Amino acid sequence: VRQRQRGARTLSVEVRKRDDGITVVALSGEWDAYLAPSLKETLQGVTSGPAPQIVLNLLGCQFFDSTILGLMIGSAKRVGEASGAQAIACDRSILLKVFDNSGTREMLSVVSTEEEAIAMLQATGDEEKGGEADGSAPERD
Amino acid sequence: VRPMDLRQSAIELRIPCDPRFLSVARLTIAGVAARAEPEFSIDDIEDLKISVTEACTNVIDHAYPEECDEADRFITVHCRFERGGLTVEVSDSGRGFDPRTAADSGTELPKESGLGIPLMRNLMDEVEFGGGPEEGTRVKMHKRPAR
Repeated sequence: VRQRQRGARTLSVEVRKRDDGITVVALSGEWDAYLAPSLKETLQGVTSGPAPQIVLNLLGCQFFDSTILGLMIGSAKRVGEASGAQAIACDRSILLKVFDNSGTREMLSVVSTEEEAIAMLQATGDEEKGGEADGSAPERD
Repeated sequence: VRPMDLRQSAIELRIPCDPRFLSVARLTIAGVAARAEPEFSIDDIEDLKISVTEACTNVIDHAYPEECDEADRFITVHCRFERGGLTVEVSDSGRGFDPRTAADSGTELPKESGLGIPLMRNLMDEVEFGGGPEEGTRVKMHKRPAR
């Protein structure tokens, strides 16, 4: 867990490796270009292995801008290229607006809870084990 | 204290061209917007915070060449209440940049950069770029409270 005090707020990025192989990266606080290098390093670290399964948990995040959105897009692309999967948990309307205004909500597999994001990755994994994988991104409703 | 006509007021913030101060610009715009009449909603204020952050980030990324002295690198955020909303101008005295080359106008898979200007255009009612080489860049944005 990396933490940094800024005024009264604590900004942190917490990385949790689950038993099922899924890595959860949880952000809290306000994220912009100032903190982008540390997030970039974290995301590059967790997406570097084979078939990475990544959940970005933004439920404690109060703010992010297009610099951070760019890192999430970059991470999704790397994960896709490595035959892995990424999903994002985010439920704040003001943050969802950033995904919607950039047309990235569906492409980045944004759902409301960490549990839904994990279930989405597990479903993708099950499909691939069933021999139905074709290397494309998981389809969603 | 006599209540003043906000239309006569302007608020200006000058910060170093450094990402550590992005949150200062956000705090300022949120504080200014919260004093507008008619009132902005929380969503409107968030739109302003994102747009000001994007405009300041563009200055940090593009405005000043490496060789520019640190003391000469700054960002000015100028706010004034007008036309029933808030006008915010983010300016610098750098080399100027062409928003047409920075904006992502494509409809294909989103790129990892160039997302800021389309976002500002979607969140603000008006976005206008001014300035040019040798005079810096000025981004003028206007937001009216959502009805």
